[in-house]
Amino acid sequence: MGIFQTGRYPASIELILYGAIACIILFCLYVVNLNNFLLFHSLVEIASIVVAFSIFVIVWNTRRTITSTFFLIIGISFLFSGTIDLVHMLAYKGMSVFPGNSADLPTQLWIAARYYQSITFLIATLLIRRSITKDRKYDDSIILVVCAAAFCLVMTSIFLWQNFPCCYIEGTGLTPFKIASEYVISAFLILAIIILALRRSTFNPVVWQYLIAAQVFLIVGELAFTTYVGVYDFMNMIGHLAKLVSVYFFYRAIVVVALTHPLDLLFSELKEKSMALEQSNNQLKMLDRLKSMFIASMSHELRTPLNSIIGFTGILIKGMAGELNAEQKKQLGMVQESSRHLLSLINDVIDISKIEAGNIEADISQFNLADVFREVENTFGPTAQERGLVLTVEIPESITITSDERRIKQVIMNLVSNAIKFTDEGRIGLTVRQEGMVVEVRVSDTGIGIGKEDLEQLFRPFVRVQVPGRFTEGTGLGLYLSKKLVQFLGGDITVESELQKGSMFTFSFLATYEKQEDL
Amino acid sequence: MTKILVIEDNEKNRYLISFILRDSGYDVIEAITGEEGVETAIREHVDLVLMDIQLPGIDGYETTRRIRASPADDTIPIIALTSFAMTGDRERALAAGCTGYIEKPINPDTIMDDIQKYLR
Repeated sequence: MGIFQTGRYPASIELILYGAIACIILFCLYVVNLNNFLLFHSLVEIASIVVAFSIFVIVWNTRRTITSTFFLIIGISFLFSGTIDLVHMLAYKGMSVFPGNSADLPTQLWIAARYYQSITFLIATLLIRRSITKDRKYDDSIILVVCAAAFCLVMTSIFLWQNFPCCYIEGTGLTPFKIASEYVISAFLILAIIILALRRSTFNPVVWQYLIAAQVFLIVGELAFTTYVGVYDFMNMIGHLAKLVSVYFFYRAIVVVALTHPLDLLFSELKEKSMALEQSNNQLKMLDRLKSMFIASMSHELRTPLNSIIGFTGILIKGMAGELNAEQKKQLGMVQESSRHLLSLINDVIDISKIEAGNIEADISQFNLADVFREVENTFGPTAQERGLVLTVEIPESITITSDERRIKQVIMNLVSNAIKFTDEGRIGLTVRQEGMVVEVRVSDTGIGIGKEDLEQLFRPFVRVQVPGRFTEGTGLGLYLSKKLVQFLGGDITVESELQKGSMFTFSFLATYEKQEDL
Repeated sequence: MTKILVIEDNEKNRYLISFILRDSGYDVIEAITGEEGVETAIREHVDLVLMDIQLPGIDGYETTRRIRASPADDTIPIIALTSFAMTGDRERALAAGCTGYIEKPINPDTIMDDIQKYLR
């Protein structure tokens, strides 16, 4: 079972498994105890010291996510009580680390460690309600300093001042101070349990159970120690094992608080967010479909009246409905021009919305590019001449293309019309060359050119390069659409330009259309 | 006199096309819906059909198919009126049995030449 299981009682199978493993370990230790008490003692102490240090390491490294002072105090206090236990182990009778080798020193250290633990637990339970907020972010350092100071005091009292009360007298056994202390420590722990029971609602149920179990085992250990006579006897062993079990329960509680619970919170938050994202994504997709449908139906509605405006204007200009004077003709010509402009804008918008919705279909046929060039020359020749420009169209001999003729024509016409719009004198050139499967059409002019910073913006929608003292009609969609169309046909448009010298647009496409997979 | 059937639901566009055709001396019969168009085409023995694609009820494609399936002369030219941006309209029109297509908006300068091309 993973560690992402907070807030739930462990599955019964897991409980039995853990229990079985614990029993086996405890039994092994018991066997060791029968043969070599010193080895047993060292193993049990090392195990509980390792777990105690692990608790500290976990708490210290996750102190930014632990918001309760309670767990911070418990975690930090384990560093020091564990250290006292370490010295206790080294000072044990038979270890020959400290001179004298009396049984009093380890017993003093033991009782000091238990005082240390029970007092810090009691203080921690009194501070359950206090949680670390932003203005209390130095709590961790303060707790560390206070705990370290208390530790130094205890150690100095035992080793330097040697005024720590005597706990064990060889031959006689435990001193009254030691036995009384075990009861006092048990009382502290019982008090801590009572406070914990009262504050049960502030804890995760599993954590609370672990904490209670840890304290109960600690008390069992203490009471076991009140009865023993020799440092090697049975009750002594029970006391040590109870302490090991107790520290393990603390460890479990800390793992849930410091690791499992915050991770679960993170994961459930992540899950919620991703669900919200998915929801909004679906909404967006629906809106996008609605938009496409709206544009498709609007386009028809907009074009129908526009078609009749353009048609009737044509009839009137032709004089089919009666002769017109020159001014009337001129004004109707303007109506017609504006209507055609409006129609082409509508068509551009429809094309763009289709490309963006991925609904565009290529209209493939075989045609000769030379015919397209001729048509461009016929269409723009007169306009260029009117503006005093030379339009040079290099008509190729024959280039057979299998692609969307209308779209390719649309792009060429857009580029040539732009070139004429932005050129005051000189020439406009239209050339083509074919390299293998790629056809490259080039439109060059001797116009006003495009500045460097504008070049990057050129193919974005609704971007219109501002030229001082110049107003030109347009939507800012032409080049954007052209680029999209050419990319759709498997090619690209590039531009080179220099201010006041002119521009050159090069657009390439495949001579034989191939469906583009991702656009 | 050459009889041309115009099927177009929009009143103004119908008037526009009829006006240009009558101006050029054709006999024009008008229909508003596809169903009406099929019926008229069969009854009147028209020489050419000029038809909008987006019609209420049965659309231009279906109308074409029905005229083609009818006892009317199945070589009768049917010309579809299509819009520029609607890629695929032309292909679908030809597939449905149209003889050709003319793009909207109608250009009074060229429409008569186009129609004459299709008249037998």
